[in-house]
Amino acid sequence: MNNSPVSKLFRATALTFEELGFIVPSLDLTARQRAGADSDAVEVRFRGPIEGRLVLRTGGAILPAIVANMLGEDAGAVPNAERDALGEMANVICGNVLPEFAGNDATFNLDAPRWIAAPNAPAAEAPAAHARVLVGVGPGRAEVQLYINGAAAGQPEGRAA
Amino acid sequence: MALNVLVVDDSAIMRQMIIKILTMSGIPVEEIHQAGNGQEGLQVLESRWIDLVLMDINMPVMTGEEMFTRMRANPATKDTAVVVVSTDGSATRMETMRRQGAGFVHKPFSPETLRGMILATTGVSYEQLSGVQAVPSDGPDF
Repeated sequence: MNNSPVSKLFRATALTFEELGFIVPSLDLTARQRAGADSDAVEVRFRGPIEGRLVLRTGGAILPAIVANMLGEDAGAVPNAERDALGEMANVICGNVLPEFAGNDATFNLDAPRWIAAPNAPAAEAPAAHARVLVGVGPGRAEVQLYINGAAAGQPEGRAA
Repeated sequence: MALNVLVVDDSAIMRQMIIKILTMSGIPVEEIHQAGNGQEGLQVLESRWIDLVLMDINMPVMTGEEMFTRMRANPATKDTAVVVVSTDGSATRMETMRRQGAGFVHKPFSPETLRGMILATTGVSYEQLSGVQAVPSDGPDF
């Protein structure tokens, strides 16, 4: 199994979307998945043996589908369900990927998910992440970036080969 | 026997999802209470009889770890069943809480995993919870 940073991040991302959002992500994006506008993003900062942040950004209308999968007919009972769902997805991805980098004995503290505005500049112009994955999810896409303080940046267009 | 359950998580959607899975699992539930952090959770415990607490670790105001420590230090709640439902993957932290009787379910989780951990942590069988009586057999024991 490939143990590159991108593969580790992809495994945590796929596990979370499949088991929490009940939706299977794909590395091969369709034209429709690529076309949707960027939405706001969320970041989770973490502290422990390694420190940094994980950013989850969606494009297209994937959040209504995920909320419907998570809650079914109860979806209307939770205020701000789409934002809450995205924050929880980021939190779970982060919690699952950190042991891949620091080992199972490492103890981390994760901050509550924090909203960040959609960037005006394309992601390629932003500082390079340690690992980045872009997956197709239902009608849209999700981009996950892992930033580790002090670590060398990984390849900018990550693929889980 | 039906359980009074307290779900403590700062994510409303995760609380709702846990409650949905709990009600679908077949485990009889009398009352379900919710709290958004450890401090709110302790306030619920002061005012209600709770049989089982399902709690997250990373929460604002008061973490689940601190809430658990305070519960174990309080004679009224030191024996209350606790299942930690968290993304936290630290073997060290999990082992510390396990030694004090907590169960642990890692997010994301399946309904079967959550039900199995609730049964293991409360120490009762599904038959006891649901009131199903074992039928004695007239045949020989093997």
